[in-house]
Amino acid sequence: MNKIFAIALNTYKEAVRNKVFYLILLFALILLGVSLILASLALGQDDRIIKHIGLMAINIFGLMLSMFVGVNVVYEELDKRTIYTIIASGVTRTQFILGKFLGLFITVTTNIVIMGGLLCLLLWIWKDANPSPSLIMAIFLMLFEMMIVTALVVLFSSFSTPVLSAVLTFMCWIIGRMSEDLWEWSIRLIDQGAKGVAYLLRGLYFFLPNLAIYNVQNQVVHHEDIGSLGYAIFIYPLAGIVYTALLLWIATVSFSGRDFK
Amino acid sequence: MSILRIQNLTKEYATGFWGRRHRALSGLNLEVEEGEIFGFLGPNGAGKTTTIKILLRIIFPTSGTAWLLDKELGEAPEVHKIGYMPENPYFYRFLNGMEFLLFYARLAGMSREDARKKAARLLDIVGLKQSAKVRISDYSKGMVTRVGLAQALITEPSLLLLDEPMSGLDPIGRMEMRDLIMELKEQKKTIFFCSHILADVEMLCDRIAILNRGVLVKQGTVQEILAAGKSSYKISLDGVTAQTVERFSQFVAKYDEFGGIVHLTTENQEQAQKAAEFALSQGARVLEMRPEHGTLEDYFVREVGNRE
Amino acid sequence: MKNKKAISLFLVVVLCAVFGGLQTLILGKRAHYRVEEKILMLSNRPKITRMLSLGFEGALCDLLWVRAIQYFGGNFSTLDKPEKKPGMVNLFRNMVGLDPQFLDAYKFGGFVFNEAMRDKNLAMEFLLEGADKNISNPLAWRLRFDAGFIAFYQLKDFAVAKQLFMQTIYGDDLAHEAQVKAEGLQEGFFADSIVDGDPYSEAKMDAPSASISLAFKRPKAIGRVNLQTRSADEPSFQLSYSANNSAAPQVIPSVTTPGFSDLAPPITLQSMLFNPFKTADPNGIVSVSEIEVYGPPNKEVPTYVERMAIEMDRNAGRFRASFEQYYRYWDEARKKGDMVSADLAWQKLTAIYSAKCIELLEEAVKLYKEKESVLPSTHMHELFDKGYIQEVLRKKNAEDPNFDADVMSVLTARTKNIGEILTTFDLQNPQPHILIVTKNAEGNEDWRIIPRTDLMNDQYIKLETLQKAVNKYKDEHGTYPKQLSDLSRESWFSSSADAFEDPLGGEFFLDPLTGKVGARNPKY
Repeated sequence: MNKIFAIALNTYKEAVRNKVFYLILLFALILLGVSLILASLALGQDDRIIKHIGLMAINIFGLMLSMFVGVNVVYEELDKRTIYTIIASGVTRTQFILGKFLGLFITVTTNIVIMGGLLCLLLWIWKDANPSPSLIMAIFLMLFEMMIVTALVVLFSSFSTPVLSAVLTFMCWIIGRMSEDLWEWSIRLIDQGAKGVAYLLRGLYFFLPNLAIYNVQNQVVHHEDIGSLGYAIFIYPLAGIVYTALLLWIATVSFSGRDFK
Repeated sequence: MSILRIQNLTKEYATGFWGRRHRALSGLNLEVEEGEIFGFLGPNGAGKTTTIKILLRIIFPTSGTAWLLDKELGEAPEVHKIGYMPENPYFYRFLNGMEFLLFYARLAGMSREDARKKAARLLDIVGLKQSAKVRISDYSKGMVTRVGLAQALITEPSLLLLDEPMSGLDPIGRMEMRDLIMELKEQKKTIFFCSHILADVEMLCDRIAILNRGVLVKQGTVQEILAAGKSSYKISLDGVTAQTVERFSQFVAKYDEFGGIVHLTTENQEQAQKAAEFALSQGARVLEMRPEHGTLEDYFVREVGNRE
Repeated sequence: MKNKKAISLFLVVVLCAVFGGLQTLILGKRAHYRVEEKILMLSNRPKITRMLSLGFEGALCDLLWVRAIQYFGGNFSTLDKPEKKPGMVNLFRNMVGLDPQFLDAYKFGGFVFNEAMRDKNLAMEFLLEGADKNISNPLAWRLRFDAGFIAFYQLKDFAVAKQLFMQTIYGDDLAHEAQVKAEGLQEGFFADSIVDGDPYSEAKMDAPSASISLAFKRPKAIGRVNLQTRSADEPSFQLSYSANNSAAPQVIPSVTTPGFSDLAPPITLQSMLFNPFKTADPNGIVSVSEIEVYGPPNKEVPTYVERMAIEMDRNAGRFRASFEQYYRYWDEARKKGDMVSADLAWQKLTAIYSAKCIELLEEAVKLYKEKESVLPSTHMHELFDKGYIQEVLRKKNAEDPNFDADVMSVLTARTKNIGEILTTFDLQNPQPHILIVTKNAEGNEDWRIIPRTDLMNDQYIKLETLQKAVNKYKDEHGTYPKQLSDLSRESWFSSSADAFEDPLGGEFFLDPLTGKVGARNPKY
């Protein structure tokens, strides 16, 4: 366990000292600033705009951070052979993967918490509004989406080059976001008789994560009672954790029994 | 008692697009005794690094097995008794020297207090005390090698596996490294290292093994190997006339002249004796006569070169 | 060396200038394709836009909102043109497709479609779509209200307007969802007509055995009940309910007479029973035309909406319904002690009643003028004496089968004397309608009928003004003026031509001793 934390801490330091981290934070801040400008153009919808664009910024930049930092995380260790001494120190491959994942996830979480805090600050300054529970919940659920993406990044970067990993992760993210719509499309296709394509789409839904469930932007803006989510508050994160565990298991399996050149 | 035993170790790779099989190691058998310095030699691509990687479970053998400290390759290794220093290491650029050692200490399961103390001491030993807070990305190559050695020593292991420990070091550094290795031997540690620098190997190692194209060519003490090789006699003469020189060519293998002094190399003692007598009979003076073993380098080039 | 540097610097400057020039040129040439139009090229299927927004519907919707505002601002005078309209409509459709709960998008869209694009039907459709998608949001009342307003003000479809206004407050009529059973029905009449939404279809029942029951699939919260009858008199009944299918029936004591009844607080029930009925009709027949059941009223909706709904009845010529409602308002306000509201309601009643009467009188006057070639006298008694009014009423009854029930039933409820009906409303304080003849700009004879009370109000105001002026004169000069015309000499007196004219056709006079201003010899 300690070994996992040691590697996680190491990965976190690597990520945080990487200039990309600060660059992404800067861009996120810029986007938050842009939201203020838009808000003033929007004839009284400033509340909506700040929340929507703010949450979008946090989401997208969390994604970008996880991808840009994450694709190097495992690949570099293999490429630069820094992994030799680690294995020599008796770290199992499973511990290594978990440590890398954890370190990366902590990095992304830090980023999201900082940006979330800034968003709340922004809202407080601009609208004199206290952060609503639904906003906190939105950011909380976003973390699980990031967890899944991080696991995808670790998985892909354990066997492919940075660019390919980034592309694959991004594609999985896009399909994950659309998977609910794809499911509905498949229902219509079945009615129309295109069973093959329909089942393919359904396969995608089960195979890839359903990321739409972590997106509660609208509830935030329309002040819907988060309690209306009900048990979903527990089911959605649980699904995220289970899927992440599956991905990490695949990564570990792909890793063990593998020669490191 | 052998601290390291390798039995019939074989490693095959599938390389290239068509998966052609390539043998990196063929049936390697090796034993290293406790407390000795063992040199592992071979040309580039011989399989030295492959062997070490197999021992450290970085890669997996196709067949055969090995025991480190009586633990076979499949069992859980006694990691804190084994130290490894890789060739051409790329360590994490962004950590400083101290953090780097602490990381490995934590990986080995040491407590924070312990780790800090040991790390400080090691940095001192390898001569990096000033650079403890400097980022590794700013280290010179020599410094990187040294911190790599420190990393290998952090758990105070009994067995050290060093891959090209002298690479990148200047002559002073090499001397220091040699001294360190000797000191480690005095501390009853076993050192198994690969090197190209045969002079150092000759100086340091108790026993050596030579690997070529995955096959063990020779194994034994340095003396044994050199003795098995060709030996020769060298005679230095003064006042040799031209005539005499011609006559020498019968029993002389090599003939050199420097500043009026003739150096002869003969193949064996008999020939040397004859040459000396002849020279004396011609009125020359014998300045020096001594046996010469070949250097390890000669042997190496000969043996390995032959197999090309 | 220096030369080389200078040359390279010079080249760079030249390149920059050339580049700048080219960019400007390009900008000019492309003014044509300005981005404005391109941004509106969203997919025309909101579902696709939503799918492509990858979960960021909210942000995309907001961007479209900003875009819509800008586009509207830049183009509002040309939005009805075919090259601009589809893009704008598409923009709104995408906006609400991305966020169906964005009420302001529907409101603004309704406004733009109606005012700028002059497409009222599209506006109404859009607003109602928004209202339907946001039923659970009480703040969405505004959408249905705006739709109703368009129906009222521009389409002049008062029936639809009234329905929309009522739906704004109460939502849909829940009676449609109920299973209705009626006992004691006379032959040829069916229970379904009670909840079919048509106030002119009726179910006649024998009062002693009459009962109506409504049963819902699931318990509902009910805030308002409306039982409308077409009986000649007002029957009474008892309403009881069951909270759910297994609960015992309980009586609602406050609902006993036809018309709208509020249930405050709202009652949750699964079935309702109207039974027994009592009627003063000699034949013992009760004729129920409609039962409407509504949920609790939306508290966000301002009170004027209900008044507007009733106005729709009036505008649609549904005289009786609007009259009765205002009567009820007046009654309730009076009972609560809210004299201000009561007065307002009374004024409204008077106005409604008067307007109807004037409408009928005008027809009679026209008929009279046609036949007799002269106008009747001020108090129009010739209309009654010579039977013209009666003829008008007969004609109306023949044309409109509902005239009797809708109009005459109200007029004759107070007194059977037609002459009295058409001249006064408040029997306690009778003020007739009078015929005023004037000369218009061309010098032709023009006439109009007004309630005498209007003239009296005018007179009262004028007398007040003159009295104040006289008192002021006294303050300034120490004595009262000798006559009223003295006042016009004062600089502070704003005299208009008719300041001293009595609207009632009489004469204003001043008593120089007491300083009192009065009127005498009214013509009307």
